[in-house]
Amino acid sequence: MGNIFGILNTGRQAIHVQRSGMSVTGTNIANVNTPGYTRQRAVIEPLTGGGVGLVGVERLRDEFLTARMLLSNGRLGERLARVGALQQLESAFEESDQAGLSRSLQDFFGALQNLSIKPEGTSEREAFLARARQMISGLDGLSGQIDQIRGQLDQQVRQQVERANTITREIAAINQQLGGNGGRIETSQTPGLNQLQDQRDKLIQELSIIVPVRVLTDEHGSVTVMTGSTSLVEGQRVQPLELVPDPASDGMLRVVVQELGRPRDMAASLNEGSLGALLRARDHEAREMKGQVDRLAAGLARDFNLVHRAGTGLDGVSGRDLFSGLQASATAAFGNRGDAGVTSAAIVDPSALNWDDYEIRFTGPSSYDIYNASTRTTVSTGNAWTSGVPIVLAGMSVVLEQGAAAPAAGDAFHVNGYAGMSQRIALDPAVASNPRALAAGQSGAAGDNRNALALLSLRDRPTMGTPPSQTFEGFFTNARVSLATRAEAAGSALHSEDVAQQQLAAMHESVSGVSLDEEATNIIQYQRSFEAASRLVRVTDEMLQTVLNMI
Amino acid sequence: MRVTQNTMFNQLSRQLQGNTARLIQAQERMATQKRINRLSDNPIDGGRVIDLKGAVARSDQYLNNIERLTSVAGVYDTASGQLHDLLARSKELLVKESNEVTSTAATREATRIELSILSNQLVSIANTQFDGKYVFGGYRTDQPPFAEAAATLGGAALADGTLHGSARVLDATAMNYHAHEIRFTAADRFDIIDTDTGQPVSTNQPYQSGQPIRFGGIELTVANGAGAPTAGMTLQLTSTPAGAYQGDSQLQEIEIQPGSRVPLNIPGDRIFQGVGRPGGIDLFALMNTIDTALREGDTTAIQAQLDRLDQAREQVSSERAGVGTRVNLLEQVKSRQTDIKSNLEILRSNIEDIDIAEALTELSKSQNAYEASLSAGSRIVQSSLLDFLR
Repeated sequence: MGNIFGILNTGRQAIHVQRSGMSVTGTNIANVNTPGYTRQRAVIEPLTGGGVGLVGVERLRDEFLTARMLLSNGRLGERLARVGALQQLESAFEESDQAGLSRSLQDFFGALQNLSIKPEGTSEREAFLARARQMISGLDGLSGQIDQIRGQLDQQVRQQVERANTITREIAAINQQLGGNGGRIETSQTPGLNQLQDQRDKLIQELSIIVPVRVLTDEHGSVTVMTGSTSLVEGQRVQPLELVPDPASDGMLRVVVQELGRPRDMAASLNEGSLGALLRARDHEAREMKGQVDRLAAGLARDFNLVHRAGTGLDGVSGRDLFSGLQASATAAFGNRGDAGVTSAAIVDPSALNWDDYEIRFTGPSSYDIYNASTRTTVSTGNAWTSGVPIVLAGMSVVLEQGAAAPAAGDAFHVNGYAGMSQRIALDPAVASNPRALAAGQSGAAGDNRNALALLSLRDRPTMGTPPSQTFEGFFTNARVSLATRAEAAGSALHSEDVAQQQLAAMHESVSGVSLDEEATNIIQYQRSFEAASRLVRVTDEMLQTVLNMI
Repeated sequence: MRVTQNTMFNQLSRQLQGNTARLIQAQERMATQKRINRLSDNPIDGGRVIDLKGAVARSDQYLNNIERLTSVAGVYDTASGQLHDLLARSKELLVKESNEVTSTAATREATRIELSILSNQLVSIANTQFDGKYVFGGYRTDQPPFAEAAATLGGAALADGTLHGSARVLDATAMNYHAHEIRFTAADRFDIIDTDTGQPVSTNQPYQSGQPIRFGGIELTVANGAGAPTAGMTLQLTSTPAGAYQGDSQLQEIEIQPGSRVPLNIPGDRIFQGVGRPGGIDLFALMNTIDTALREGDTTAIQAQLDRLDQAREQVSSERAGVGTRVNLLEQVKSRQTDIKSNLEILRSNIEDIDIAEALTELSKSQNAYEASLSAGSRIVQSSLLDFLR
């Protein structure tokens, strides 16, 4: 203390510290627009025995705020992806006054009206068939569009999973590079520490948009990234998301992780984030809309066939179908453990058909329950199962046969009478090639319009929906409105999340963002301190000179 | 709270974005003149618009049906009017023959011929076609509902193919609808016998294969088949008067409003044969009875038919009145349906269409907001402490 060289040393330290401060300010200014950059500050402390020392450079951030941002990112990512997907879906259902499936349905019934007025007219018959074809191509076109959207969503799922895996690998790599120094202040011994941590934070932020994440930091500054109960990154170890095609869902990809050698479906854990939104849009909304279009096609085919069969064509033949393509569908659920497979599924009684989703659920190797997933009711329980013996439900007959292993309890088969109908429906060949075969009457007389009237009355018959309560046109409008309602709700959810995110971003910016005004002030501050320290050195030098002159 | 330049920039860009979005929406509404441009703009109202448009389209269809029914009703009105006139004319002619003093065999035959021309007209009215279909056939609209007078030739020689032969009607007014027999007396000679009366019509006619034989308004063509006629071989000729009904009694019903159907047609058996009407009259049978009465000069019978002609006219009139009632009903339904349609249109427009004044105000408001935020932004981003540190 009081040593002149000591003072000189203090001055030297001060100059060094102020220069470092200036350098940090420079870094801040240089990175004012760098995404993910966290404002830094030189950490200075007085040294025992006088003078000043640079401890290191710290990042200014708020852990609590960061955690909230992660949550908000997940929600925002979910809303954004959902809105995008639903808008795309809605645009497939958009119709003008002149074109669209609603219009085709209207025209179809209109042509039927005209046929009922002039059942003997060849041109009326031709016109009705033409309208029916138009309606069929409308159904087919619409479900084709939905398939295309589902395909695109599937593609996006793949891309997002790949991106998420790249991110988790990078996070693990940074965990390794940090080598136990994470969370500390960057010092001369650990250059680049802040940059690495910024980079890791940025990656986690990006990941949080795709999947919901929870971040745990251990005492070494290594992070564990959790999604639900799965750790995607744990130190340097990465649990990659995998993609498995699901035959029960048109070969669409499921996102799974390997757990104890078995794939575990992640869908339930992805409640937030864009990946979950894409999966839900693909497997719920888009699939449901496809299902509704299929149901409409199946409903039209069944009801028109039942009435048409009762009528007689101009050629005196009755019992013909109007539409072809009705078929039962049975698929094994994803993740069945036994290896029973579907041998056949057929419609045995069209009049007993409905458009609910049924499940055959095995409760043991030789017993099953039948469950109606649309009404969420159990149809029957404790049925005995023998391989190859048809199971009859709701007008359908399903044959399941076991392979090497018996079905396990919990195995399920999805059964319904409509899947894919919108792409199969066609005019019955006998009617398509011969308008006279159209059964407008019940007696075969040319002017008999009773069956045309009976067909026409189907327009107002509530045969669609669960329970049947909607007409064909009403059912389709309802489907459209329910999709639009969801799109609207998703839009407003996005809007409110956007506002929340905006506030969080402003708060984050207020903690971690670079203010040019502040840095300008810092420049002056450090400059003046630097000048003062320099003056100190000069004065000390003069003092020393004075002492030397004494000799 | 610490505010940085980026906070300001972010906020500014968000505000600009929001204002642009509102401006675009206002412009879209102006351009399409619609408040709802996609269903998700307002799903509840949008759904109602779809329903309303569907209802309007159905109204159009009903109006179309009514139009069609009205024009068909016109056909029935015309036909029954003609029928009415025909019966009036028949009575006029017959009245003259009901008086024993003035009626002679010659006048009766003249009247009979004139009446049988009217009978022919009766058939052609009964077989009226409209838009390619027979209107009096019930459901059987693809064939004439009432048969013309017909003659058929039969016999063992035709059945076994020894001879070929056919008969056709040349002149219905000359026919008496009796059964006849052609009797071959030799390989080249035949007699014609009226089997109803037992009297020969002509005897010892020369037969030449394929040569037409004409008598009593009928033409026969007989030709050698596997063999030739032999003595004792007979052919039978039967004939039926016009008016056998080949249609059915069915009503073609058409929907004119939800849950309400009206018949499009009048089955021929009802108006021409009085089926389903107490004391209904078969107009064709009546004309035949008159024909026979005139042929036989039976004045009492002729007088009796006068009343029946009146009843027949009443039968036709009542059907015609039915057509009138139906047209009135159609008019009522049409005007109601037109009202419904325009109400639906108004309702739809109220929901879907923009109020132009409001939309214009909205557009200029959002334009102002956009410009204001632009100019405010340009001032904010200019200043920084660095500007003042020189």
